[in-house]
Amino acid sequence: MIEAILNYQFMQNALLTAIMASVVCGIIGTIVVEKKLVMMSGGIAHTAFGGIGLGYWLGFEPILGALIFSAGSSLLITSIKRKTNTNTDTMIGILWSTGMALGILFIYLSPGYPPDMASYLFGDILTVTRFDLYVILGLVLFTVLVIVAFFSKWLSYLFDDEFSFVIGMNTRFMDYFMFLLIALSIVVLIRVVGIILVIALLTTPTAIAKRFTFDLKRLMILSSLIGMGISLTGLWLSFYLNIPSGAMIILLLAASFFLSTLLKKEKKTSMNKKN
Amino acid sequence: MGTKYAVSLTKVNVSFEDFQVLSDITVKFPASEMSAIIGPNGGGKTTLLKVITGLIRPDSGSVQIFDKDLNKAREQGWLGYVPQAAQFDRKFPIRVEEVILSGTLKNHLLPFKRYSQEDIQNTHDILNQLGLLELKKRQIGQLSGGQLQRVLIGRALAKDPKILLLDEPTASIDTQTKNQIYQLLHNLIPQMTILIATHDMSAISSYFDTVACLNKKIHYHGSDPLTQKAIDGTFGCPVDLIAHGVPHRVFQEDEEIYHD
Repeated sequence: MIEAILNYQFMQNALLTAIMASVVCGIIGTIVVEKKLVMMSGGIAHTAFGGIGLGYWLGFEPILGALIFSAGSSLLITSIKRKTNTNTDTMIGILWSTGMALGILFIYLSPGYPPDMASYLFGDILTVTRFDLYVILGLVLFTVLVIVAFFSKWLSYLFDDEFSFVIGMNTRFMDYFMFLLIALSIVVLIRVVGIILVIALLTTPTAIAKRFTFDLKRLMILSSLIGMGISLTGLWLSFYLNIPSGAMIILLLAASFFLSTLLKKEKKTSMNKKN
Repeated sequence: MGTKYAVSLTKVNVSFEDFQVLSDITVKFPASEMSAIIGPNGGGKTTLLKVITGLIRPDSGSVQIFDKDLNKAREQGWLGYVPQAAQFDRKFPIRVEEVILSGTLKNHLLPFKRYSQEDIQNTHDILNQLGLLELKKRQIGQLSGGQLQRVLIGRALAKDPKILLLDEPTASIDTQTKNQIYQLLHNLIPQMTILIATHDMSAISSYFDTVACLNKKIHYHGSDPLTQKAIDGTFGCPVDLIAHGVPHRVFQEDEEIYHD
């Protein structure tokens, strides 16, 4: 595999994407898990399919279409949630399938042979282009910078947004911004494991990390490292066994999660000793 | 010389969907005093506090904090809020120390700005004052109900607010801890104005300067002795009183202490 990395650009792209995606997973995944926004994230991911279809139809980069659609749907969910009493859960369901339907419609309207949608649905990290890579790099840097720079504010907001509002923070802005960050990271992850598998990548590393720490900062860092280890291993295995990389990564995540459940007891006692 | 008022509400109406929660509330809470807002469950106590903190925007009416617009006062950091402890996700990965530090956050925080030495010292003092010093590294899920309640009070005090609003601070807390909390709050007077929403009437008499009885409307407000009529008007159905384990009789006995 080392040889392949050195010789082929697509392998280099895949490797870099896996590393960057893990960083996003660690940070945003932690927020998603702690704020219980898992289904919301699934909805945003599926809405992105509409954008991908639009990209094919109108002939621009599908990843940009995904970006616009997921950002748009996340802002829409936040503002509808503020203004009406419609159950968020119901709204997510509506957006989820509307996005998929739009995608199918746009692809049907596209001229010529239908494009290969499987790489967007199930992910294919080996097809990541240089352009994709730059977009992903930009998104990752932005996310990390925003979270790290205002970490204490995020901590307070995530713990108790009402109190944060009362002491004068602009929590309304933070609401929108948080959903925007989630949408952006979902776009990154779509390239790695695809729309359908995105939720597992977002939640599993954090779920594993949660067994070992209860400090938000450490949780984010540990989730990133776990994600990195597993997605690189998954990539390596898929390369040798010739299995789709997205599926391989998800299966490894699930296996690691169950393994961590078994290991939990031993780790917990050793942690307590340290404290 | 007229009394100075910390919080003034004028003709405030709040409804959720078709259900009127607060109706035509006009009330003033004097500065540097400890006031209680009592009333049955569902009487609008929490809603009233949320209106005063700006969390709920009333359908009509206005809220003034020391003659200033509510939003200005909020942005100045004049308000301290202690929400009901029961509403928290106790599994959230945050430590006691971090909770209290989060109370010191300024609105216009510069990027990469860490907590100042002053904030850290202030947090240490609060932890010490509340007897939480040895618990400061604990995750909030590892605290008892009373300890978490003190942490939330500590967080609200961290920014040294002018007005402190507490929502049921003594719910599910044993009598001894309850008295400690009331004593602690009492010591903050007169630097602070304190408003407490509670259905726990046993504590009211000895610590509070004024009482407002709220059940959708303000049925009574002032520092004169409470009448049975006002209590009946507020609580309406006596079932509520029995549910809280506070029979009428107890309250009337307490009235005597209330006078001095």
